[in-house]
Amino acid sequence: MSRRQRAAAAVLALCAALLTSCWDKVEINELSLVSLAGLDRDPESGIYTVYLQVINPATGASAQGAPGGEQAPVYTYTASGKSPGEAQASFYNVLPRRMFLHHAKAVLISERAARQGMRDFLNFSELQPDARTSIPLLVVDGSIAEVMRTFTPLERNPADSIVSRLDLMYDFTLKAGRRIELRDVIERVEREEMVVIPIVAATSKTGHLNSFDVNAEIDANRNQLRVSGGAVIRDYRMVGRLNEGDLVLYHVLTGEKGRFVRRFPFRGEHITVIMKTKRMERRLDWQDGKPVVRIRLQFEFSTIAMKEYFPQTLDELKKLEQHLNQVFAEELKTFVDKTRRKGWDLLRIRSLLHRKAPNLPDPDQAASEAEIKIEVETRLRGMGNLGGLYDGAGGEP
Amino acid sequence: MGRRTKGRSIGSDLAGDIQTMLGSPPDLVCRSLIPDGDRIVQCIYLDSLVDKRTIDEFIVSSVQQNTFAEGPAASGNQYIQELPFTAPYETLRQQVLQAVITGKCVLIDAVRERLWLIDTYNAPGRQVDEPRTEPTIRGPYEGFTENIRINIGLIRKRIANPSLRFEQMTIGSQSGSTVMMVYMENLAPETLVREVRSRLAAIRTDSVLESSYVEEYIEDRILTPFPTLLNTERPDKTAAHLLEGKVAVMVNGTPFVLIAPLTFHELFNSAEDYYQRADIATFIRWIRLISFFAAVFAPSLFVAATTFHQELIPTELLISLSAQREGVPLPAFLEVLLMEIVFEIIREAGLRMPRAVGQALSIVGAIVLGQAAVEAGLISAAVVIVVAVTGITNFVVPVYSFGMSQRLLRFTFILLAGFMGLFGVLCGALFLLAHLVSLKSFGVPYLTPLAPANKDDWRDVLIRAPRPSMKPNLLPASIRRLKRK
Repeated sequence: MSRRQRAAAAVLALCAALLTSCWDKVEINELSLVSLAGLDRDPESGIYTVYLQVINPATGASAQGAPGGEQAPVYTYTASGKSPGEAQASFYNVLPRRMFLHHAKAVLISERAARQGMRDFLNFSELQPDARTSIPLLVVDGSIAEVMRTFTPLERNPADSIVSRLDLMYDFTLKAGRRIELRDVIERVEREEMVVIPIVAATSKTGHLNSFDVNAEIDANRNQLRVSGGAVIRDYRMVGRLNEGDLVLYHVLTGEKGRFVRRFPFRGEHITVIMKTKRMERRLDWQDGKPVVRIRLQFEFSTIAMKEYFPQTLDELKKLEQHLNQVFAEELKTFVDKTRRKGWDLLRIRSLLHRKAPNLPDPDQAASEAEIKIEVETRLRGMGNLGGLYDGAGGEP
Repeated sequence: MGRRTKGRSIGSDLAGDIQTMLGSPPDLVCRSLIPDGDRIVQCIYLDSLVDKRTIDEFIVSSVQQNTFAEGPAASGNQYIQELPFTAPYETLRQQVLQAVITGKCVLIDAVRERLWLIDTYNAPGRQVDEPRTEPTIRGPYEGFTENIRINIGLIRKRIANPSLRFEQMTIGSQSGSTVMMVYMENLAPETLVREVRSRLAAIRTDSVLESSYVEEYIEDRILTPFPTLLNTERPDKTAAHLLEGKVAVMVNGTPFVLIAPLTFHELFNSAEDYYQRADIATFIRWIRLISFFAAVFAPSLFVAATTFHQELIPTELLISLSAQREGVPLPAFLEVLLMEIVFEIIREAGLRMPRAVGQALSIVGAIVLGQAAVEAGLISAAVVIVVAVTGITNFVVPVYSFGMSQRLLRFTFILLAGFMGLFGVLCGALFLLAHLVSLKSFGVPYLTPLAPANKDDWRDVLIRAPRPSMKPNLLPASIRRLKRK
């Protein structure tokens, strides 16, 4: 390379520094870190309202000791418009820093908006280059404005609090599933499947709303958020709800693997069993030209929570297992029948038929006529610390 | 009387001429010894450069007792050399002058017409001491000194092998420095020895005061931040490299010995690796590798992530960083650049400062620049941590000159990150890789044995395999490569 060429290369390299790349740099404290987004649409006026909960970094520096004084850990900003885009654009009327959605932890949608249909919101969200779709979507029971303005104790950032609870609920109660993220909802709805997403609501309030009072209050069940129940989504629309008990059965039948606690009738009483799904198999058969879906479920269970009965012998254990197999299979079948009567295909039978028998003339009809057979197999895996239950007279009446 | 040349006589005029030519220095000694009545033997030497005990106990006494007798000296004998008395006066005078200034004692017996140069060199200097730049916990504590004779001894002590070769040459038209090329004749590739010899012979300079003078003349490429010659002040390390067939270059007056060829991975090897257990040595080697990446890339990645790619930072950390930056006036890029420059200034000041003041400097550095600057809101705490991490990791590398190259690279990457974010860092890293691949040290690709790959040698690159599982008598890939040529 000649000297002149080298000089030209150096000048070019220096000019590169003037290119736009270095102008798109943003300092961290020029960003408003959105942790939770809320969406609402008034069915009458058609006005979209977007809520953004922005982290207040001054209080977030948990490493520096006591969480920050009298400042709120998050601020909720609201903007409205005739479309989500318009609402978003008017945020800068109130928001002093650049909106930064990359770190959002969850998206909430009001029940009325969900019932009208959430397609527009999801489309808008998918169009944003900086929005993440790997975050859970929840439906708000009650006023979304109230939920978005509710602090949570212990975990001071409400979004963290919700996400952390969803994980724990999956691991220990199976009242929340894994596939509740925006992208799962979109994927499943696009495959014409039904989805159940968690519901969040604000708990009763004592009048105070500021974060200091929430954190000073000993009763942590009040003044905060509660995640409970599931919203059934079909074709981007909320069509119904599942209570907590049904939600567990739904998750079991869709192959989620978390632990859960369940009470079963046993010899005129009830026993409490801790169960965990080990395996789930679905098989499609045909009987007299009609589809039969066989669902085989294997569970491990433990008697740690079973204060009512203690199997002493192998024979008793076998009987307990057989009983559980039968009772649980019946419960599951009842649940499936109930939802099918409502026209909900929660087990995604239609999708299964579409996959296994793509040439069916009327898949909807076939799915609704399909027979579902559920088989349950349970196995004892944990016994707790006792060799037998104490049998003094001071038990339950 | 002695033979006359151009009217000057060796016996009567040489001593006076030498004195004049040296400008009558205070340390020039001309003694007249009288072994018997009719003979006077002149003894000339520089008092400051010779071993006076040898002169007094051996030379002076044996001459005076008339027992000094030397047969015709074998050619190449460095210790006692006899010059032919019949040679032209000018030539003799020049040789004698050269001998005197290199610490030899000159004996002139005008009656018997004999002239001897006896090596009595013993310049003042440090004794063998612990190597300052490469200390180890386990392993020998000896380091090279400024005296090349002692250094030769330190190598001989470790390699008792007749194949060990020392080739001496004098470089520097003014300084006339002694430069020594050392290699194992049976192991070092002939091409390498020839190449080093010819590169040394091609040096045209007035002085060589340190081995870096030689290094800049003989290295393959000057425009590179990476050293292509290893320098060390450890005799054990030098011996190990000689036994791998490499060539060492020693310069009188400096404890730093150059070793060629050098490959990149050797910059991460310390002498101690071979004195520790293999698993520990491997672990420490990985620590050094990680430290290298941290030292070069940590500040640039910090700048890139905090100003261009905030989505890459975990949320909790981002919130914490954001909290720290509240109220900081400078952009992260300038903040990091400024702190790095300040750190370099402190480091340089620490090197030059007298030891007694050094402690004050470290207090000023630690408290004022660390704590006070953060508390005053001038810089964020995270930047102090990043700069401290890069500072510390920079000292992990066992070769000091490589540490210096890391400092240069770090600044380049900070600039790239400040302008172009991760894209800039990636471009820089690719350029760096291309540069490393294109480098050669005495004909050996710098990244040997990784690229070109040589699996046999991998047992001593990213890991240090236990000795029994290494191939015995296997020369490194770099040397095998040269031997094939």
